Amino acid sequence: MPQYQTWEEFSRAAEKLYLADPMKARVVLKYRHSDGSLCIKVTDDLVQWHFKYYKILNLRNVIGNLET
Amino acid sequence: GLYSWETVTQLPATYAPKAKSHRPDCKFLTELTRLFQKCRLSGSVFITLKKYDGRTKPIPRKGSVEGFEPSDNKCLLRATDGKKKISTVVSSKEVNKFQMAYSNLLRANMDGLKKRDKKSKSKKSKAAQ
Repeated sequence: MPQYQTWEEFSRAAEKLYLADPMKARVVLKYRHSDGSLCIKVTDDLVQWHFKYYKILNLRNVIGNLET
Repeated sequence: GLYSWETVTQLPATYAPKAKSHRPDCKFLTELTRLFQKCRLSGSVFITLKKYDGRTKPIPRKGSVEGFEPSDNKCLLRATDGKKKISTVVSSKEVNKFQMAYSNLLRANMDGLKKRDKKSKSKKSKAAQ
């Protein structure tokens, strides 16, 4: 399960995964307030990409995902 | 009677979400806020987002469901804290309004993420120029 370091790489990989099969791809957010962490996973059950946030980035990822 | 070997090894039909358990958007957002509040001290909030074609019955392995026309403009949102599960369907008609409320909700509730420190912020803006 590869983990991406930059948002740009992750969002490109995520979009690619979605375009390959829109019905299979899903995004999972896991938020832990106690750890101050947000983990974003994009998967189609064959392949998974992870991205972990500790810093507050503008939550444009939410908007990006929904628009897709 | 005995099941035939064929039946036993059959894979389950494609899962379809139960339509009656989807809450309307506003109720979903209220309950999502509650989930975040419940998990502030410990635990995780999981949110899943995927494209949804409007199916309410599993698609059988052989053949297809009569009269089912897949829609192209919906997405399914699920949230859970590991115990309580909630879900909602958002269509493209509602997406703008929903998105605003949803992203405000996330911003307000995911406030535990550490703030970006000023040094790296200025580095970033310099790189962008």
